[in-house]
Amino acid sequence: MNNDEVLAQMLDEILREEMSECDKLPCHKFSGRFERRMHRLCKMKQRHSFRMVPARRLAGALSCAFCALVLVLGATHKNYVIWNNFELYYDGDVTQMTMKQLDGCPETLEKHYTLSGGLRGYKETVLVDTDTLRLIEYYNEETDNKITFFQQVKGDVSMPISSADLKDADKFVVDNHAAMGYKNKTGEYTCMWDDGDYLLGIEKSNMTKNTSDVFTKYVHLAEF
Amino acid sequence: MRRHSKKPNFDGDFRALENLYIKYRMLLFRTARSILPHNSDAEDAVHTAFVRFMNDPARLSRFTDEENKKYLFIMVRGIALDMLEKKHRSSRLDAETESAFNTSENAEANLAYENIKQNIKNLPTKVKNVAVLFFVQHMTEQEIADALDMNINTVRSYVSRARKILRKWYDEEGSL
Repeated sequence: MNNDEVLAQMLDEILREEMSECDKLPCHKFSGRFERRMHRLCKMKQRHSFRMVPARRLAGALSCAFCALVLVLGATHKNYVIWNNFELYYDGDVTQMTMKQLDGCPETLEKHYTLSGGLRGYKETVLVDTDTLRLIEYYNEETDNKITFFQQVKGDVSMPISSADLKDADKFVVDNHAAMGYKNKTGEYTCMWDDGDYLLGIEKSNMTKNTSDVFTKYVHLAEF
Repeated sequence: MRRHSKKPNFDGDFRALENLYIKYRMLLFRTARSILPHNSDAEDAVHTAFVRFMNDPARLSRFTDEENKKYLFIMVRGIALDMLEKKHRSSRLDAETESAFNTSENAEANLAYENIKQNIKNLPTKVKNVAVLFFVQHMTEQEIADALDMNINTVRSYVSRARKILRKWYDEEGSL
């Protein structure tokens, strides 16, 4: 064994010991905000390869995305866009979305919304169920259609969205509330709206802002 | 020496990546929390580690599940230290570096493998992070600089210093 190999062996043993020591610390209940951010981050990996696009093309796409954001959604600051209650902070590949106008809004999910009832043949699976976030998947095995519905406390929203996806973002109205929608590269359309108390959203493939009301109308209060 | 488990396929595999996150998130959070004072900061550190982790898709297929775990552990540790240093605006590392590199007077007392290993363990965390990624995970200096958000010259300096110190201890103690 040469010096580097001995060193590698020692370092590996030390690393295992240090990991083992960290694993003895107390358990933690992750916040809804964190769960949501991680779920979206994992889904973004499914859709995108951040560094696969050549640098020149990426720079061009991002410039267009930023200009489009400024024009379509209204700019108040070079990297910061506000539209209605949606705050968008553009930071390279990723735009971070948060909500404003939080005064008087609930800090926990005091009531639950659901999509069920109007969706025939869909099986409901609750993916995330915390005090501040609910993420529910509806899946129809026969048609292989999937709809994801989320409800989140507005103060908890910190959503990373691919800047390229936001290039052609829509702004419209759902149930008399301001809504924002965008489509990702795999064809899934996300429609989000602020109902005053919570951020609600639906994600589905083959959906547009014009057809989203077919699904948004199914949103109703669940027995709680 | 290295044990290999089946390499996970991450190409477009959201479930596999999410499983990695679910499997190791508690360890990673605890790692960050052992450095940072607040739960929210520790969660931010874990999130940042995964953002960086996913910035290099090629790496996901190069490493096994166990190797990814070590890699994420190192990243979270480095990110948490950076966050702490920014908060306190201190140069903890410089002080740590000096005290660790001035242990030549102790080298004579170190005779066995475990003693040398203990001295390696006492190296500053940032130097250890770079050393693990370089010697154990066989990453290039540029890859380490990107992963740990460091200047590449700093990475080279840490690798060089770690090698020099450990070679000095190793040579003084003779063969193991």
